[in-house]
Amino acid sequence: MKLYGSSVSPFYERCLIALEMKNALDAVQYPGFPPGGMKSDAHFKGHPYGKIPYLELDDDTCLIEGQVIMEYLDGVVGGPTLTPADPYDRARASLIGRIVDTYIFPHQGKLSGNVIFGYQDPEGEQNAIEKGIPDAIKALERYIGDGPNVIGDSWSTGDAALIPYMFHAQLAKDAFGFDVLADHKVLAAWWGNVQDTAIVQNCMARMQKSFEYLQAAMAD
Amino acid sequence: MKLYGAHLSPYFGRCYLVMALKGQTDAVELGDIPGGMKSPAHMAANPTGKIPYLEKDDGTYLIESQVIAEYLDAILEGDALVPEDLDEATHALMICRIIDTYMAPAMERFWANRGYSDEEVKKAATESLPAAFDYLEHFITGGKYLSGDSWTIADAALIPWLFHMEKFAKQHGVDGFGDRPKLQEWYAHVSQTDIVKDSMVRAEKSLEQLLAFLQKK
Ligand SMILES: N[C@@H](CCC(=O)N[C@@H](CS)C(=O)NCC(=O)O)C(=O)O
Ligand SMILES: N[C@@H](CCC(=O)N[C@@H](CS)C(=O)NCC(=O)O)C(=O)O
Repeated sequence: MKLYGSSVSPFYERCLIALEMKNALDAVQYPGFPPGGMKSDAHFKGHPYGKIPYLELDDDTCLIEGQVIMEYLDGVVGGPTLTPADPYDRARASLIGRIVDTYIFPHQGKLSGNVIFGYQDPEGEQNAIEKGIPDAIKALERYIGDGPNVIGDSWSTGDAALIPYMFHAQLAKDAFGFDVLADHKVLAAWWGNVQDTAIVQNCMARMQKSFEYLQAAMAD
Repeated sequence: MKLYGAHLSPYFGRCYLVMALKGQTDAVELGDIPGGMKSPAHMAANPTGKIPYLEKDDGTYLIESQVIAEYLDAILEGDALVPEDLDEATHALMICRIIDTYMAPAMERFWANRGYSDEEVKKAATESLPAAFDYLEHFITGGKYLSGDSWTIADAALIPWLFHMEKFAKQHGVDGFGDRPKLQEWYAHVSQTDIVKDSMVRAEKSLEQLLAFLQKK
């Protein structure tokens, strides 16, 4: 199996961190960006929207959408399961990914887009900081448990979806002075619990490296 | 358990269809939003201010139609709509995701109350919706069902949109699924089933109720 994409993408990185939580990073190959670059013919063949990530299976068919790929990898690769057994806990874990994708990133993307690609959307940025992201975090916090992990005391797909967002939250803090943890105690408590783990540190390092690589490429 | 929302909402419709496909429509109570959309009670139950949401018997809430649909599938009796087999499950869930991420935003542009500009509506009709249909056509199995050879959660996700295609998209020149043989074959089959016919009737009734309510206001 080959996973295409780049770690600065939270949709890609959630698949990697999930694999690392399963001690199974080597179950998959990581060619990086699609052959020929983004939106090449090969890219569109693998992913009809020309997005990343996508997972090429051994029969040459492809899976798309980070959350779908992560859940698939959780099922197909050995190691501890990231899917809680209890149906409500399972729903909570998948809600975390859903809220990150549907309510946080449409807003966070304005901030990250500015930092990474230099996009300018002052109104969107302001709305993200004042309303979009705080509202989304409010919904998110309902489904984060007492810890140490999102659900109980083991890693789940909820942690895997939320941790890569924290890298982007840090970008927003550095560039805009927007500290999402200041007003969101439940999120902050969870982050306090997990941030020093090797899993999280490795994820942040991958994302930082990928971010710097992209910055250098943009500068060229 | 109580599911809040209205049948006109394709997201509410997905949850209801999961119950219908499992033969379990009596297992969950249905309710209108106490105090109406965005009331304090609504926002307390679901801070996103959207429908549907599910109130569990212990008073906690679940939000997001797909999450609710998967939860109901897991806890209610009846055939599994997320297949047990991992490859089959992944396929069905990927179709749901494509519907939510790429098709729904285009279809929502036809909702008059959203205040989209003529240009945005036109773009949805001529570009984003056709593109989303192309992607669905690319990924669906072909045959009577969207994923595999029986009803799945993917059918539950797309069926409620049929009413919106008929009622709203058509007005903007979108003629069914167009020249896409797999989607056409699916439509030809499901549109003859009671599952779909009943879903259209529920949505129609819900639209009439909404219009009557708006008129009164
Ligand atoms: N819904 C997709 C989102 C993927 C996505 O937006 N990827 C971005 C990178 S973070 C991308 O490929 N953008 C390129 C483009 O949209 O053209 C998922 O969850 O995987
Ligand atoms: N992603 C949500 C979407 C739900 C949604 O957008 N519902 C609409 C009704 S069809 C709504 O509540 N809109 C009210 C609003 O956005 O203010 C889900 O899947 O449940």
